[in-house]
Amino acid sequence: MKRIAFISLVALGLSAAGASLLAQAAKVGGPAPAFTATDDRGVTHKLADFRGKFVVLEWHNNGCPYVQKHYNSGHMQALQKTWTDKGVVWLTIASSAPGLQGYVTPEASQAFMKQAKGAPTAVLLDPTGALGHLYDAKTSPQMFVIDPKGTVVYNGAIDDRPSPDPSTLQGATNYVANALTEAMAGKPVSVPVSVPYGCTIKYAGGR
Amino acid sequence: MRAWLTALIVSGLTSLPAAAPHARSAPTGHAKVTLIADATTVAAGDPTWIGIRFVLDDGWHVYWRNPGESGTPPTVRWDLGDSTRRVGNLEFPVPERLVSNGDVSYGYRGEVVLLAPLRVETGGALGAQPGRSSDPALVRATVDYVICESVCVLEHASPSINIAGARAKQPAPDAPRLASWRARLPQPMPATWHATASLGTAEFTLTIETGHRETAATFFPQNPAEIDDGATAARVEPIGRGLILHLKKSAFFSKVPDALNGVVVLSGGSAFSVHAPLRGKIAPEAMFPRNYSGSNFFSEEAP
Repeated sequence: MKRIAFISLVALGLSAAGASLLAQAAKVGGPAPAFTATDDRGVTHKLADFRGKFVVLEWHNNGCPYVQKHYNSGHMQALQKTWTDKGVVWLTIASSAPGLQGYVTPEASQAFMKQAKGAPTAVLLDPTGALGHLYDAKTSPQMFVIDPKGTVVYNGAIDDRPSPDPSTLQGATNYVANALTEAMAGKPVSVPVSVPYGCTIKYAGGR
Repeated sequence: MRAWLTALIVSGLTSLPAAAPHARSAPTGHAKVTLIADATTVAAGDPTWIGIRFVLDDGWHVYWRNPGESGTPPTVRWDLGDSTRRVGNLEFPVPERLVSNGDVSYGYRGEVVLLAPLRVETGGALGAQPGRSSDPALVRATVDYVICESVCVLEHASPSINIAGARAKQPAPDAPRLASWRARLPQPMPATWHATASLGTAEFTLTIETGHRETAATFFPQNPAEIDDGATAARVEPIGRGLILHLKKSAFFSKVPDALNGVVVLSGGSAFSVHAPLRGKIAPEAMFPRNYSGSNFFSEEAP
């Protein structure tokens, strides 16, 4: 796992400052780690392209019951639409390795989002897990909110109901919507971090 | 299935008991879930212990009250069959630390029985007579649980068991099984022991004083936002009167707790509930900025 992460760091053009760099990655209040990644339509995106906008990262595995809670209900798609309409860049990320749950080919990824009527800005395909490891993403779903200056202002669960049961959507506090609302109003994010819940991300070679 | 048959025969019903509104069960579930009890009756006085017994398919696991880095613990809704009955909180036996592909969770493989005490309300507003005999009434548990192998599934079960009211508790054949699982609940810490915690920049320390040197311990945290679960099997420092556990802070730590709560398992396998109040000065660097606001930010981790 460490070897893959090292190679990925070098490949992404970052200096390999050792384990402490990974440990500091994606800390709330710190800079969002720079990345370059390709989406399911073959388009390459850099985080730096989105400087000046809010960016949401949504770790995703369409076979995971916790993710299905949010997609089968249309809840995640509604969030994507609401916030992209307000100018937020929403990046859905699949970090599962080939052969493991949640892995999608570009075609399968497009087909899933089409039938789900999802509205992310792009779906990034990360089968090597490099992007997931860079952010130390642990579960699907797990959410990050990055402000227009490139600072991580939220890292954690999508809401306060750590269960795959669809009935728990009712009355849930959505940490992502709240973080975006507060940050856009220039206020401090009142819940900047929470314990992410979901299925473990099915990384190549384990985490 | 057997409980239903017993209900038919004993109470002479000619029609099936009404199906519980939430009687869903996954036909291809990965665990057999049944209700067992240490008595066929409930009487005033001693509670009757009810167990939700999970026999899991090989390779699958369910979760402890704090599931760790992924998963969700089982939840239960009870239908006690009689308005004079009360059921206590679900109790969880000491879990295992489950490591899979670098993910650390707390849970159970093979088999687990979650326990709850069933009591009869005596006197009071309901006017129930202590030791009153009553017909068998079905106790039903509607159980929702996440069960995982390399992937996770949310499953449902609605097991039931007949319990009658009686003057005295009448042991059931499952009494030894219930007793053995009750013995696997964490015990309260002996009064002569002490547990305290402190918080540094990068780690908690948990000091457990048992009166003699301890060489091994595993800590299962009750709260998911304090300890890095990947490190809960890490550094044990024996001292003359016990041991000190060094526990890395969680990446999602955000609030200084009053105490570290959880379960500690010592060498030999004995397990105790821990309530370790936080003592000593907490370095400013250990705090998390509750209201992040631009540049006013402490770096919380020592390189």
